[in-house]
Amino acid sequence: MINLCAFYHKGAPRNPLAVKWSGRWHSLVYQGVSYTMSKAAASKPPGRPGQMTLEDGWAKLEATIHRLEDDVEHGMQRTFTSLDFANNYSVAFTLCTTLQNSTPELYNRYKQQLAKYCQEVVLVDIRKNHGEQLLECLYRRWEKYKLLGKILNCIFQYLDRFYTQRDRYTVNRAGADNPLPLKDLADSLFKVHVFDGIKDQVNGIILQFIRREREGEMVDRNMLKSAVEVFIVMGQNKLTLYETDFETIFLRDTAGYYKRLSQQWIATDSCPEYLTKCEDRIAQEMLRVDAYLHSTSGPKLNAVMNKELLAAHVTRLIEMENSGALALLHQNKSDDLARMYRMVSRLDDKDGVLPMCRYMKDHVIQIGLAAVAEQGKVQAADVAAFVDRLLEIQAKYTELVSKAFQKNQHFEQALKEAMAEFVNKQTDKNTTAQLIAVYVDEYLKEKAGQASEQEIDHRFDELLMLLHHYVERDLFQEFYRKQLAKRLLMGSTLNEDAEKSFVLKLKQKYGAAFTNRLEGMLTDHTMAGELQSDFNEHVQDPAHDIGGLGMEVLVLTQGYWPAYKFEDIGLPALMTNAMEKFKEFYCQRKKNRILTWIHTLGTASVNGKFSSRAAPVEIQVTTYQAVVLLLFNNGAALTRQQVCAETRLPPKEVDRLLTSLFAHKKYAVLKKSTEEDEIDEADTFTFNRELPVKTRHLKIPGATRLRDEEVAGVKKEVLQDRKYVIEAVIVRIMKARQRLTHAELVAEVIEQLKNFKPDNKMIKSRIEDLITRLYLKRDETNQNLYHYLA
Amino acid sequence: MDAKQRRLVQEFRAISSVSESVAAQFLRRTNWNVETALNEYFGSGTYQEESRRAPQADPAKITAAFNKFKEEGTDVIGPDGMQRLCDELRVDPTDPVMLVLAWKLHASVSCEFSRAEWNEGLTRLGVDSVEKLRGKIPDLRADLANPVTFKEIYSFSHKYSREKTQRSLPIELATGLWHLLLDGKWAKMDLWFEFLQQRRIQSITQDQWDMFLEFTHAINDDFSNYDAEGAWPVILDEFVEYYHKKTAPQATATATQ
Repeated sequence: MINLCAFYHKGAPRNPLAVKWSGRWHSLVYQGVSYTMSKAAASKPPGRPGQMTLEDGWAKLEATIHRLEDDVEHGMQRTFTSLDFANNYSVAFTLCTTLQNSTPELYNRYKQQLAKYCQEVVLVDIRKNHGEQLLECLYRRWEKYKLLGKILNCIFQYLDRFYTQRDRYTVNRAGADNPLPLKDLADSLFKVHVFDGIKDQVNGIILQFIRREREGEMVDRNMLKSAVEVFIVMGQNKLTLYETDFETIFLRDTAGYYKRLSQQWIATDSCPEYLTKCEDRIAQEMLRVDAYLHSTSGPKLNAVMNKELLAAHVTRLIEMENSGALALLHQNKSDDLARMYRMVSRLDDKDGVLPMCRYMKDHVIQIGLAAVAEQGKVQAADVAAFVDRLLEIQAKYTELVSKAFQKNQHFEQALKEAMAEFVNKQTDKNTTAQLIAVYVDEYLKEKAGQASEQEIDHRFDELLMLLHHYVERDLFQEFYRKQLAKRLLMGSTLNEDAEKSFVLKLKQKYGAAFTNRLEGMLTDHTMAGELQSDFNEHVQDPAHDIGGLGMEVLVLTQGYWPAYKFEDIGLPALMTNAMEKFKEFYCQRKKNRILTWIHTLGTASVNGKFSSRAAPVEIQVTTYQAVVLLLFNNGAALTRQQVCAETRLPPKEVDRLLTSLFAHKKYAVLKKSTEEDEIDEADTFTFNRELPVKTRHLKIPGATRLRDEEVAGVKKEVLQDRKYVIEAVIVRIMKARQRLTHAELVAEVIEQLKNFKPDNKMIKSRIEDLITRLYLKRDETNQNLYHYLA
Repeated sequence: MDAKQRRLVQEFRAISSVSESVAAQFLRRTNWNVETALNEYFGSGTYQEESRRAPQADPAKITAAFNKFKEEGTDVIGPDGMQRLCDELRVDPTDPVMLVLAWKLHASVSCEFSRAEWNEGLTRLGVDSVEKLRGKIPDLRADLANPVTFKEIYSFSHKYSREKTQRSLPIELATGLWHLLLDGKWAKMDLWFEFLQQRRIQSITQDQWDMFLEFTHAINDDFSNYDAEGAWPVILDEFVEYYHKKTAPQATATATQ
């Protein structure tokens, strides 16, 4: 900051013009000075003008200029008093005011004098130096020159006030070379006579320092900063000069430098090595901008770096064998991938990000399909392992996308597409819908008991995410419903909260219509407990006695639950009686309801007395098994024929039941008259009293898992359901829109159907059906246009 | 047409006794104002023509003719009466012109004319005896040749031929009707029947029926301008597919020769 302080103070008239300065090139304060000066001039009118000629006056002024040049050279050691100043000011003033026409001449002479100073003193001095010294000298000279200019400005202030200013603002001299204000004149003279002559040299020196710094040498950054700033100052604080004379050359130099360097790197380095260097260098260059370049150079420098280091080699880098994107994906190098993303995302998406996306997509698909193929090979498909594998793939790449690829939307999209690609790939036997449903089933039955709430929650979220990639979600829903029904009916659910939470999550994602039936089933299940305890109380009353039979009833709302077989079966009187009692009890509470008994789902406990144990053994069986077993209560020996007659069941079913009761050694509660497994007409069965029983309970196995024919059934049901769903959607749309073209209608239907993707043919068939059923009709003239019929 | 427009058409027809399409045509022209439409109709050439064609018919004679053919104990001309009527008209019962007659009479049940249909129909035609009706036969044949009326007759034949409780026509009847109406009019007829048989198509809906005629008109014989993304019924998509599958290997075979 330069302080031209307080000369011509009232109280201290003898003060010399004391100038102190200290080292910066800009932010000068001199307005204060000129203000004081003009006051001084006004308050001290010049003496008599006399008959001063231009030559006389100029001689005096020229001497003063020389003297000041000298003074500046020696650090303002000598004194230039206010009186000296006043005298000189008065001379300039007089010349301007008395010799009207001499003003331009005075201006010219002043200009020439300053130009001469620049050429003969300043430039010559600077040229004596080289390298760093040259920069320093330039810097020093510029400071001195500015000081000189400032003092001279004051002396010749009259020119500024009445010549350069007036002409500039009041006289229209279009096209003419207008005189510059003195300050600008001084700057421009320095630029033309000093700076223009050495700027290439200065430039070269700066660039050389930058190159040395790039090679790892320590350089004086302050000195560089000052040197660079000269370009800005010389450009009158506009950036044109900086840009044309320094920046362009600097950028060209930089481009060349990194072009060479990158070629060296790419020849030898692996992709991560290259990109690490790249990232370092870019960071360094950005620091350089902060340290000594103008901030506007940042983006430009950035662009050069991107072009030379990245754009030039990006394809080769991404595709690099053994260390490119694919290799890094294979090797799970997420840090390297993250860096690759950071680097290539500096470029246009199509150059770096999109190719990377493609690699990731292909890679994920490949891994996914491998998992699917693996699953296809295993015979008794290990559902848990397969779904776990899918979940693992999903979790791994979701994390990669969110961490390494910063949730870039292209990567998110690519991952989504990749997941959809293999999740929807069906193996011959099982659909993904079924596998996920079975997985959830097993999870809820086996793991959800011990897992914490958060764990369960997290697992469910993952499963839902996986499911979301799956197109035929309605198929999943149907499978899930079947499994849920089984869990609820078998009482195998360990964690009712978990059940509810899963259904709730489904509801949040796919709407109430999607989970309507599932929720209904859960509600039925909850209500059943209450109903049961009321019923238990009810039968305490001797009037409603059910013969000491323990009876549990689960009332299911039809429509929510899968369709079950109603079969007529000959039941023992004890059971039919109890059923009647329950019906009475229930119909009292809920009016207008019809109860139908589904014995296929029932279970029973029968006490059996075996010779191997003193106490009765509780035999746990299905209702059907129980009915057959009870036939042998009186020690009878029965043939298959007889069992069929008693139970009213078809022979095939009876065979199955009998087999389950005698074939397995451990559970052979019946004894067959012959040894073979095949049941013959003549074979008789009796109760196997001698069965060695080790425990108090004997659980005889029954089928629990969805069987193949059930699976086919599920698909058929779902396909049928889809017809209704599509029709409902078509009618809803047409009702709202009244008339639509075929293409519009199809598009809207697809748009509205979220849980599966119908094909065109499916939609068309539904439209035709609705036309036949007079919900819609074709326009009379335009067959592609449909009308809604109210 | 929505329900309201349909009602207006009925209203119009009650007074003018023209076909539905003509009624709709006039109504549409007058922005669904029945009164203006009727004024326009009675001033129009259509009406002049109709009234010229419909000279005074004697209701008593019409009834007498009906009674001659009507089935014992019913109030309809049944299959038997129909046969006798054909004989007197000197046309074969399988002649398509009989379909045109049914269409003219707005008959609703296949092979049957009710008394009302007969009376109104003959009055509309302006004839009151079988002889006069026979004289109308050339006119009826002309309707068959006229593309506009043919389209109506064609569409009517589906509705007329099917069981009243059914929405579609059994394939045997449909095939018969197609032979009757379209034989010689469309190059790919045999292929179509072959396709129907191959796919074991059981029945044809009204929409499929109507669109089929449209198809034979609008689509080139090599199906090159067929758009499967359009609103054509699925059965036609499959037919075109069937055709392409059938012809594709042949095409390559001839190319290699």
